[in-house]
Amino acid sequence: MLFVDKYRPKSLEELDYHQSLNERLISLAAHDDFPHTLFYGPSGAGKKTRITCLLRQLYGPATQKLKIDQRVFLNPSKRKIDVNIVSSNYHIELTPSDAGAYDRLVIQDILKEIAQTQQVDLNAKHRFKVVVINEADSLSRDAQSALRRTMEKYMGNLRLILCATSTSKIIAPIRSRCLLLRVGAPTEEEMTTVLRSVARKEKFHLPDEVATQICQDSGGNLRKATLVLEALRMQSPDLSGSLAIAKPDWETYCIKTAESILSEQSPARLLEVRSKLYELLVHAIPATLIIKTLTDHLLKRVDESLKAPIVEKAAFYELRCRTGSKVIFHLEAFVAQVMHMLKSFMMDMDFD
Amino acid sequence: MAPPKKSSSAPNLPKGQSSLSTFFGAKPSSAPSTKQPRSSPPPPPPKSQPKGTIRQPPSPKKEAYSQSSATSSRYFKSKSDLTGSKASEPVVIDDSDDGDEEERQPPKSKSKTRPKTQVVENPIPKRKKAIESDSELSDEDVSERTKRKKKNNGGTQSNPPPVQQKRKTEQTASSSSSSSSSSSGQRSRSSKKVINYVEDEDDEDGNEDEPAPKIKATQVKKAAPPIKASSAPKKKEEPAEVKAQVTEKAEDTKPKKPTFRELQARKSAGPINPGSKEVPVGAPNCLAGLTIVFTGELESLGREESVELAKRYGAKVTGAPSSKTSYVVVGENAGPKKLDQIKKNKIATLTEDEFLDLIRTRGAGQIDEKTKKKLAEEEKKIKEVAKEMGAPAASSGPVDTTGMLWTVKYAPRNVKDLVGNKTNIEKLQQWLRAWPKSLECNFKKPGPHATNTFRAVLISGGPGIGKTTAAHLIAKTEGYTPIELNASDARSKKLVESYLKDTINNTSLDGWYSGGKVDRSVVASGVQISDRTVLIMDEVDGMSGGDRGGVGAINALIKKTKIPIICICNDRKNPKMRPFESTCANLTWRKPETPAIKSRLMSIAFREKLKIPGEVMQQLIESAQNDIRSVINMLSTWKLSNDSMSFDEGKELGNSNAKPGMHTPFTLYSELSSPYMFSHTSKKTLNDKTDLYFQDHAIVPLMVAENYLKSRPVLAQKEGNEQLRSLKHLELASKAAESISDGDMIDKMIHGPQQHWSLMPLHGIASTVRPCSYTYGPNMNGFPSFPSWLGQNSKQTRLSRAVVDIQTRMRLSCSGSRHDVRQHYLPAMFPLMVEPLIKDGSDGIEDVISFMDDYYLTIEDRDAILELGLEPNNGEAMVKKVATAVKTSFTRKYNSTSHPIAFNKGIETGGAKAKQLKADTDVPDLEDVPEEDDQDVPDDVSVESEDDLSKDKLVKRPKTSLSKGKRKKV
Repeated sequence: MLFVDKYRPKSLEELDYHQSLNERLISLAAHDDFPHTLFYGPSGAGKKTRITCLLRQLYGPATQKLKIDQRVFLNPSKRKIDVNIVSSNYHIELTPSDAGAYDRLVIQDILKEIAQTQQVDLNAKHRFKVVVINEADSLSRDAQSALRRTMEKYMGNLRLILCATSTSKIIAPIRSRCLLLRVGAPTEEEMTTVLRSVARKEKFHLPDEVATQICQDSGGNLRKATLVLEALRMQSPDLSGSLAIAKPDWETYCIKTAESILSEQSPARLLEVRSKLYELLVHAIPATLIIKTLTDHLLKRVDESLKAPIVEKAAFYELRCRTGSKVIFHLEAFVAQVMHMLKSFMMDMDFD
Repeated sequence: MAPPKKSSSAPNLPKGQSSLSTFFGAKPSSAPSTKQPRSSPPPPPPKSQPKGTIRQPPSPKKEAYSQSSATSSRYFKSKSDLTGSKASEPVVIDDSDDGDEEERQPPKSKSKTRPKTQVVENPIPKRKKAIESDSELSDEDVSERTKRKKKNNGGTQSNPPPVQQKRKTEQTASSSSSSSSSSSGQRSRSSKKVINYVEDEDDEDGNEDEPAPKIKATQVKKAAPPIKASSAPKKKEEPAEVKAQVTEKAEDTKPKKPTFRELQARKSAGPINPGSKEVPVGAPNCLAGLTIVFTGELESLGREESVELAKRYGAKVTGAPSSKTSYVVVGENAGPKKLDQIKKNKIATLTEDEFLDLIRTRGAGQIDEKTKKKLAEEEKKIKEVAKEMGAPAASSGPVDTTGMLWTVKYAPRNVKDLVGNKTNIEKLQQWLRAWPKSLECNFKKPGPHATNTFRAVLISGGPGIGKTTAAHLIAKTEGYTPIELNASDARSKKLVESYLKDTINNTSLDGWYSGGKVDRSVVASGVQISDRTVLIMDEVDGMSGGDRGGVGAINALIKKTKIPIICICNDRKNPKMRPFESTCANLTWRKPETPAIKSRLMSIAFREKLKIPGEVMQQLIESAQNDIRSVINMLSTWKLSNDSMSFDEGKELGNSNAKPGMHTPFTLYSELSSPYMFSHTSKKTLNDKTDLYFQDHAIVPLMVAENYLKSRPVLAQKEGNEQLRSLKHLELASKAAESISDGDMIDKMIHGPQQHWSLMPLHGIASTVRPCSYTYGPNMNGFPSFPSWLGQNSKQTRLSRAVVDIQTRMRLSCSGSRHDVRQHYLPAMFPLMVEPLIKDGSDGIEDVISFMDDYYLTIEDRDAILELGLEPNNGEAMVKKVATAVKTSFTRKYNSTSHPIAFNKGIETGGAKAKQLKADTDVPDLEDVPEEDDQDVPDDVSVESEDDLSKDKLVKRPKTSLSKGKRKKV
């Protein structure tokens, strides 16, 4: 098992940072009027870990005895949608975005089913059951609206814990019905502490410079940092000497794509870039991440005067990637515009 | 003969562009990033050039016309401004482009003068000045200046005299060559006498070897207009100083035979200078009796246009010259074979201008005696035929024909009236006549056409060419009573059997009727039959759905029928028709020749007092693809409102009735991006272009998105040098890409939750028409490729599913979402899955399997993880490094041991759900899990304790239940 999962804290007391938040969670769990909550914060900051710990605090260790069910829904056009549900006796965990456009169906069906039955276990500490909704920010608007009424109507039987990376895509009525809990990214010192504790448990020495290097590289993502630590450990077990932190495959590929944009600007090259973009998309890399990584790398290499327009285009097409349906068109348009800018700049012409 | 002051910088560039090319040509092209253009020293000031026009390429013609009416490109340009790209277009590029297009809108007589004015002047000084002054201005100034400039242009347009004068002064100042001065002299004349001038022009163009038959050849070859000369490099030897830019052209001068690809590309590339010449209006039928052949590329007319033009005036257009050809219109790059033929047969040749002139000058009365006679004869014949046809024969009594369809009213009444397919008709007649005898000898004697061994015939052929009519008519003339069953009758197996079986097998009929006088009777089945009956099964390929087994039943009947059966279908190749192959004689009806149909239809028109000229009728027939019925129906509807039809009306009617279909995504895209589609000579309206999208609105946008980068845009070809051209190309591509992106946003609104289907036209424009309006031009690969989006998308869906599957399995041990799994876990896991096998060989197998078990991954998930890796982690490449023996032993080992599974697959909702829950509770391990003190990750299926020794036992213990679970899963 990887370090990340092996040394994941199991209870709120074990958590390493954001102590004030942890304390508040402990006191919340002690009361019977536990509210609906919305955990938000960047990836790898510890949202899910806190949710799991919170559940344990609410009901005891039995919540960590999980099982997975696969439920099949029929959409209006009779096509099957598989949704995986992780559940314990006290709670249930959904990722409705698995169902794509039909997440509303999932929300309505499952929540009603759960909400309409009472807690069976008489020994349970609380009368309500908990539904954890992952990736709440990728819920469609319809699905979010479907949540609104349920949240009030079945308050007696049901508490929702939403988990999202940002609140911006959660509609205001839901935000106002939830207790918002921000789980910020850990600071570098906090991350170093965590890495050290991992190293201590694994009984190896972690040099300071390696720790800082990892922390800087991972940009506040503790999951990434821990995985990188493990990868480095595999490279050289004693973590000595100069260690190069390997970039993940998709990032390397994105950089390669950016390089080919920079080295030549022509429709023929655009075609090559298109096939690279397809390659990234096919390998399940989200378009928004591609645009972000490309832009990051392009900005390092272009003239100062081009930076603002490129960022503007990136923002424009990033939004389109989110709202549109065929992302490749928007990615390609972005690359085409950047190429045109670069080429015009090199030929000393005005681009629009 | 060599053109003296040819634009030495860029000979085959369209007007105005030479300025850019010379400008950039003068610079070292290898240093594009330097600020060269702007820092160049101030040049000598231009003559009387208004400041407002500084950035414009200095052809004065341009100023005059850049303000002319809005072209489609202008429409799209303004649209692009709306959609977010900033209004200040790169002035140099866009102006030259737009102005260019507008300029080509032929302003009557003036269009002829353009080439000369453009060539003689030297644009460099003004150009430099322009840039110099521009660098001092801010961006706002630029846009403002553009506006001002436009105003300026309006001014110059309104009072042409100054322009004319300026042009003259410039010309005389910059060039001293005799040719230009003489041509300027000509011009002054030309402005007064248009026709006269054009003749002069024609003569200049005339090549030495050209007889130039009808037109007076007085002022032969005084001076050669430069553009003309460069556009016909084959005839005149090009001077060596042609710039690199024209290398393609130069290659053409070599007597190398072009490949098929090249010819195709050349054909699709169209005329060099579309629409540069005014198309004259001639007297109707002025070319009647002439046979014209077109060869090579004309300068202003495309092949289709020119053929249509000739036909409009009554000429006959053939493909290859022969002794009967009256004229050959020779363009550039004419086929050498045709030229030989022309020489051999001594056929008169015409240039494009002479051809246009012929139309202009030749009166309708100039038809020679022979043709006149021929026409008169034709007319007489038409009248004769018209007399014969019409109302049904008197024998059946007076019938009111007013309500009758023309197709019925004028249906042929004699076998000789049938149009076309004479041999087939004869064969059918012979077969039917010989049928009783064939039956006697049990179909052993093949007969003259080898058809007499069959009990039935299968007539196939396109719609509206007289198959059914012929079958009925022949049956009647041979003394049979036809019984027709067509698609309007139910023809299932049961019905066919019950209705027809006894009828057909009734051998006693003959004897029964032969004695009595009764020749008609109603049999119990309800089908009327006489003693000699023929069964006509019409539209047999239309048997589907409700007619289950019908084809088989008919075929079974055919095998033992005692009466002849005629089956009729459209498509013999249809798989449904296969049973008939062995049992029926095949008669394939072909489309009748146009002249044959024409004479028949002219008779009908005459009888109905509808005035249609012959060429209009011909055009109508061609547009209906020789479907007689369709043309008759068209005419009958037309007669309701009009009494005559002109060429254009006929064309429109033909187009509006054109048969749909025949379009594949490939042809649709090819048409959209054809080099003419958006040229200003194109007669296609925006609606016509959007219609192409509506032909297949799902695939066409994808075709555009796939192929727009693979075209060689016409708009970019006008740029002066290679660099500017590639920049322009890129600009066009980026605009197209932007528009495609817009289109997707609209698509989302159509197919999203709101379903705004009324946005379809807008989607068509944004996703299809507008991108094509930028990048239209010949395809680089010759043929458009099929959208790769479809394949890539399904692959993406598959792999995304795989990620979700992996994440679900890993969910019990890790917390990340599927994105986290893909972006962080997979790169970290990748080496753990493969590297032990590479490094340690079969010793690594244990490690990999235990790692997989930690995360509940199956061997399929492992494959998916390997497939999900990108380039440095490329799964296939990595797996290749693993020895085959290790791979097989890995698989064997994995399959031999049992593994924890995270969950059971759900099967169905409802009942299945309950069952599945039961299956979950069946797993006994649930109870075995130590609850409080379990430090390991708890899971429902398997338990692993820390210590290795007990592991084997523990894994083995749940094996029975696991395999049970597995079986359930399957």
